[in-house]
Amino acid sequence: MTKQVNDRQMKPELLVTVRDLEELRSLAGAGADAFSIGDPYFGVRTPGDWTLETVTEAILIAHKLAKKVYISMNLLIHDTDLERLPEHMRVWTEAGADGIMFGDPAVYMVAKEIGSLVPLHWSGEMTTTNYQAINYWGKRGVSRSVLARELNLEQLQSMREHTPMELQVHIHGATCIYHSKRSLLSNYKSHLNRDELGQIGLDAKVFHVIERERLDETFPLFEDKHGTHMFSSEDFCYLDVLNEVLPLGIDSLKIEGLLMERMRLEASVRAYRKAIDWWTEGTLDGNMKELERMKDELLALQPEGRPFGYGFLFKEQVY
Amino acid sequence: MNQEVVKKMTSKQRYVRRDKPEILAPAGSLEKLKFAVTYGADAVYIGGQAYGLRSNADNFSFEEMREGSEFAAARGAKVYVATNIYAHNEDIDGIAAYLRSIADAGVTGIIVADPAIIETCQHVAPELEVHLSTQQSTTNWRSVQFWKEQGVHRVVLAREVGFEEIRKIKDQVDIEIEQFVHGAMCSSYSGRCVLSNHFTDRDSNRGGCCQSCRWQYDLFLEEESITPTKDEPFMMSSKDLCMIEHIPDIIEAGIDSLKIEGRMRSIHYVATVVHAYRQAVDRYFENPAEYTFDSQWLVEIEKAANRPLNTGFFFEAPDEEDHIFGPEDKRTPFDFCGVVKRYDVARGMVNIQQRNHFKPGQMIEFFGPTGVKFRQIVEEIFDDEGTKLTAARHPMQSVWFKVDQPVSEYDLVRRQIKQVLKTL
Repeated sequence: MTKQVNDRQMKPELLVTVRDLEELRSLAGAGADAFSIGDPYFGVRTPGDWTLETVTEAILIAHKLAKKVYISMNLLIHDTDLERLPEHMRVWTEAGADGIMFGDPAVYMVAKEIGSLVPLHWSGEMTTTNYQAINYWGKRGVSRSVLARELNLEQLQSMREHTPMELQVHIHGATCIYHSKRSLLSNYKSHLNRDELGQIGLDAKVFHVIERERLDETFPLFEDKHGTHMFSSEDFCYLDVLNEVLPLGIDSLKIEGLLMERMRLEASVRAYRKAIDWWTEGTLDGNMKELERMKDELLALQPEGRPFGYGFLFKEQVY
Repeated sequence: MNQEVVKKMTSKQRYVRRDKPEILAPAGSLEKLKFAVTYGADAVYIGGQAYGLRSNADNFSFEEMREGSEFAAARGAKVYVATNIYAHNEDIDGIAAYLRSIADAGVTGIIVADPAIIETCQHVAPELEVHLSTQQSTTNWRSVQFWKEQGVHRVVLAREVGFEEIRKIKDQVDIEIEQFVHGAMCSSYSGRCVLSNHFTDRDSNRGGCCQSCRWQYDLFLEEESITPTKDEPFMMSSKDLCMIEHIPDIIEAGIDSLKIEGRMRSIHYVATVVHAYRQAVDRYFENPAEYTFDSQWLVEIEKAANRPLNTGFFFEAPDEEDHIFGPEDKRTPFDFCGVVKRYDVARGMVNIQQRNHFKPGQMIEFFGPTGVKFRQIVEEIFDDEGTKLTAARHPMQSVWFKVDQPVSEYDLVRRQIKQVLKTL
């Protein structure tokens, strides 16, 4: 790793999703720098049951603690939902949100239209895969890009070398690998005539699937009003390879708390906090053994059949 | 204006158009391009050797693009090149040269999802039209407006939008709208699926999709298996789209280009489907008020269909009837036997280039772009030297036999091998 990282990147942000105010306080205590909260309407695959009021309160609390709050408005928006978009954008602008993460250009259009100065973060989920595409958004005033999870170390490095934008990388937790607008679970239930399974789509109960030729991999999925969402069979965990990731100069490291219990999420925030502090102090390399031990501790908290993995960090994909 | 009024207006609104919308067909090879145009496509989309999403297709060289563009232009048709991958950093360097070459080959436009490719195209090949791919999953008018302001000429909407939404978008933004009307569908929002990456390390958004959504799964809630038997697996597999019965709705919604999926499909499939839509659109424009659907169009389409059909999201969200839960029989009801190369009027003999096995005594069916359509029993078959054959058994073999009616080049020969799926 040759590229010099700047001051900001010497102290990368530790970003975590949060499901309620109580969790916000505990994760702040555990060392999170910033929180990702789902817009009650335009957030998708975001933990918790937030309202405009509680999110506004969360922003106040976080700011008192010198933490940031980014609002996820990452839904692919259909016309019926479009009307309330300006109102939400105004609420977040007035509440002083530190960023809005979006995946539909409509959000960008509305932000410009109402003159919102809240920084915009581009997230095309799995489609944000090259530096020219993120610079395309950068030229249009977007400050940060959330990179696809399906990238390896060399690709992340090359991203850093080719863009001045803030980069956000998913370092821990499950990642969405499939979003259908179809109610696939409800439809399957109807196909089987199994009414006793109840209202699948309303409580977003988490199911899982196993492909018949890959019996050792378990993929969580759930259904909500936006369709069916499927997740990786492993939780990403970059903890013990942070000595390779941090020198890249990534600005924000994200822990995904969806599908994760409070205790597990808090433990992971503590572990990454420690590791990032070591990096900032310049003592990370001497603490690698300790990092591995911390990773084992986190692994011990994992549910059965839910391993850790490095995602695509060390992989070459073909096509 | 309140929402109720808007809704009322948009639901009654009918887009009145004097010009016919485009019928846009897939062409996986130069030969398929020629058939698609001959059978009535106004435009075709093809893949080049790079940056397209069908890495397994028989993709076009620049020379073939040129020949295809000339063939199409001579018949009033256009060619678009699908450059619809989401590029990775290592793909960036070659994009400019590639786009320049396809522009020089004389194509009309590109179908593109990645802003990196859009931007490069606007720099190095501004004469190309830029059509935003369905891979961008564009679902609302503000998003369409954004892309219009970025200089995009046409937007291919997400397959998840319905008629109401399409009408609203056409009403709000003055831009060409292309929509899939026929063929296989991703069950996910297009572009928003990396099942192949996670299952097999193949990058779905660079052409490596291995159709994991059509595999068989067991579904569990905690420890309990929801899947009752091996025969009723959980699948994410969608039935194929078919809007042939709803041509007036399609045209009156203001859709400018009716897109047919399937660069991997056979000549037989493309010719059959294009021909059906060609007839329906032409019939509509003869007299919109008196338009009636001809059930023969669907009968023809079903001969080439290898999956049950449905109407996607056009009317309402798909339900359990719109998915495939269980093993699929992927054969089409009709085997594609061959293409007509020549007709010897004096001897009443046809020269066929063989595409699938057939032999004397079998019932075959001829059909063609000019209305040829008849069945007959195959009698004696000969090779080019006049030697009698027991069967036409070799791919691309040139064979001759007596034919009951006159035929011509581009007519096709098919043979029924199983029952037609009654689906719609």
